[in-house]
Amino acid sequence: MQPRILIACHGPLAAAFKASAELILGEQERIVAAPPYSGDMDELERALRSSLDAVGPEGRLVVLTDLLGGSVNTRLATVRDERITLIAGANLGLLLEVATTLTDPDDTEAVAAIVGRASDGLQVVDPTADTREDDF
Amino acid sequence: MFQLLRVDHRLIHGQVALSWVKSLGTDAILVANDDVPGDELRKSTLKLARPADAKLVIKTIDDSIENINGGRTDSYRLFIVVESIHDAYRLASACPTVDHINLGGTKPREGTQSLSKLVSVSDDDVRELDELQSRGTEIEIRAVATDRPLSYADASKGLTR
Repeated sequence: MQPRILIACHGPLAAAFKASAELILGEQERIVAAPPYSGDMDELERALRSSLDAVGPEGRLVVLTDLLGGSVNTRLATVRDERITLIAGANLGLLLEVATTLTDPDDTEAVAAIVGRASDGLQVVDPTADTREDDF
Repeated sequence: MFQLLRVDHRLIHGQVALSWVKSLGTDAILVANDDVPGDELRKSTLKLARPADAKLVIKTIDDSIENINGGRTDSYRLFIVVESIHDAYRLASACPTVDHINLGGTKPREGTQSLSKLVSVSDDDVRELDELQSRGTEIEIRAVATDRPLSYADASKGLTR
């Protein structure tokens, strides 16, 4: 069963992540943006619990946060529930790949591979350096 | 082995390409387009989207047809991407193994109708898709591989012909 996705960030970033993902993928009902965090920790936690209710007892929830050391991630990490997979430091690539390829968040190898690729996507770009021309 | 021919006005790019390649187990992407092979800027931009474990081959439509019909793509799990429905029509008409077209995205232009949220079709597009469909080509609409496919047959029922 495909997991639901909750994005939680400081300020407007979560809603923006969802909007950007939907620009590329079309409407994604499974992706929910938590309210913009600007100090109300309780509101944040309520958003998480609401998403957990929505997935039900057998469902899975992937929670993506913006910053590993930030308040958002720290607070959400206190909610211990085996339905949750929490990933900090999300970029758009991570969100897109989780949304389009992750069917089983309990598959830790699959999750690690996705996180690895999202990290690899963070790099200095020099388009003129790629001179490889593939052929059949 | 031919897997799928995708029509996307942006050709291949980032995560959309990656999700298809991952879902299909593709090891070779063919960008079939008459302008790109001679356009270094477009080529280098497209190469930014090359997934780690797949070849990215860029050829004109005619060269693509020659390679496919000549068997040179047989040993690959091949995902082809074209920019327009007309380019898809050219390839599918000339290559018997190209029997599945995915409509991913075409921009609205003057005189086009909306086939789905991301796909707009001109009268010529409709004529060409109808013809391919009548010859047995599977034509469906999906943005990413995990979406439920909408068949062209169903989606086109509401079009003005």
